[in-house]
Amino acid sequence: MFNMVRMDLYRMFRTKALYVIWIVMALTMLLTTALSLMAQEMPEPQEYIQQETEENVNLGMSVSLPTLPGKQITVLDEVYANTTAKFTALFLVIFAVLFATADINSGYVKNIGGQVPNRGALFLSKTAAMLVFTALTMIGYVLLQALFCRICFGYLVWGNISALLWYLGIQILLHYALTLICMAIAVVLRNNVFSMIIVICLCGGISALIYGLIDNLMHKLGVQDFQIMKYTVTGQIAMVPLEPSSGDILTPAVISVAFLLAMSFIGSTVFAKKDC
Amino acid sequence: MSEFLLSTSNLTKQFGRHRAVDGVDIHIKKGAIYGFIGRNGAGKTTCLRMISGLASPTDGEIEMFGYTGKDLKNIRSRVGCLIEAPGLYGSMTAYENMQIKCKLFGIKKPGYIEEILHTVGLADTGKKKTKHFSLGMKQRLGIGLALINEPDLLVLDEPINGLDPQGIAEIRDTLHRLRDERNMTILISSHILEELSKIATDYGIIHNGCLIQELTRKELMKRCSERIELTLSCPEQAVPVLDRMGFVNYQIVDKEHIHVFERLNESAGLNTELVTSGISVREISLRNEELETYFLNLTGGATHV
Repeated sequence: MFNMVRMDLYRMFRTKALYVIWIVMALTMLLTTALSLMAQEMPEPQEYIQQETEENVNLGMSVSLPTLPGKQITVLDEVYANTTAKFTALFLVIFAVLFATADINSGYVKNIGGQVPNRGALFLSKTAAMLVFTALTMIGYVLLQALFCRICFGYLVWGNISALLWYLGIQILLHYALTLICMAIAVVLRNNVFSMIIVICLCGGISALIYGLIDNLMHKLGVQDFQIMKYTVTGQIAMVPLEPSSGDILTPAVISVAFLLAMSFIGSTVFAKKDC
Repeated sequence: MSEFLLSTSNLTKQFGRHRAVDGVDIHIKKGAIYGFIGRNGAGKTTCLRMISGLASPTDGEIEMFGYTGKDLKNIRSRVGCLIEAPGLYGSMTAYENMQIKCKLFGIKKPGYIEEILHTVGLADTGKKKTKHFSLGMKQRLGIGLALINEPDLLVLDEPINGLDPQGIAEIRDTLHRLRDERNMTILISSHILEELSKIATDYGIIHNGCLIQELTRKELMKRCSERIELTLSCPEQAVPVLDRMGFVNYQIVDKEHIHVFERLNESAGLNTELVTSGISVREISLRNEELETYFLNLTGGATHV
């Protein structure tokens, strides 16, 4: 298994798409940071934007800063705004689909698929490589965000460091679970186009339409106050508060782990059972 | 333990209602180069995919290195394969493609990859991306990938497909070298019998998912060699006549035919002797069959190609 992970890490760091995604993500971050500066410099006082609540969830891709009027924009504010908008998630899931299907699409899996005792382990090794990618991307994203804040605003305020670390930690876990969902979808469908459409819809908020239908159905069945978003990874990504307490972290952590286990099982089983 | 390195028993693969492979029994001895012949769509690739562990059989059993069933996973790493087109990462070099598989097997030996690249004639490709390789180079890299971890059995599916004569000759030389230097057993499929005849020591002919014949190189050559072909209503009756005339190298092929492989200039005398003995000869002819013709006759004739 260790060798498989080494193989996938080697492959991942030699994939051009990895660097393209990181570069595009960095450029987009620079743009959103510059835009947030423009928004702050507008003559009208910036409207206070409420934190995401269970009733008011950002389903789309709009980036809204939680900074109070007159306050300095912190790195935590920027990270929170972009993460809640699933800006980082979008880049992660695109790479997850590309990475999960690269060996299938290129046919490379035929060189190795028959020689491993359990083909399902090839999927699990990809999930390990994806953890490295997710962690590196999220940490790099925070560091770059700090750099861009310094460049665009002329100052660097981190905000509550402890809150930032907790927030980053739980978001890495949630984003990792999301990438595994996307990898499992890609492996099951074995079609990059359909997989990409589905995962972009997941991040772009179109899934909210389906969630709304499920909620309505549950309400009609007599389960009041039911919100499926509370139990989904994308919903939790948007719901984690700016300065999470240990209680706020428990639910997203449990949901992430549940999805991690389920997707690892589905992905590895399908990979093992399907012919190469 | 079986005398065969690889054997299959009633190997079957069904896709929906279509039976791509239907009860195939293959027998491959250690050190053999087994030519697996069949037309396009005959079931060669599906068979090889099952043998390589890339697809699961619907029915039947595979025995390799004395292992069967779930125990096969213990020896899967001893089987290298190149199935269909070589699966390569186009944006990587030959070395990087090889390195990926070496990582899987934990191979860190210095010069290991270079040695294999040299074996398959790709030592000088340097930083050239594999997407810029010719078909022949890709095929050879595919074989190189299959050679990683020193497999005892090499499974190659149509490795000469689409290659020019020089490319085919290079692949042929590589395979001969692998068998001679590494004592490797090779299972190679193709629909070009003429080419396989220059490499293989044993043959299996598959048609419509069924293995219709297994024979050695010697047997194949004998069946394709120049001969007197007798068509009779009861071949057994001709045996005493042939024996009396001193023929020893002959074969009753089926219920109507006898092939005589010696004294080809005595066909007229043989005919006379048979008729004198009261045996009705429907046809007597001198035949020299091409390998391709032999294959086509066996699989339904040229009109079906």
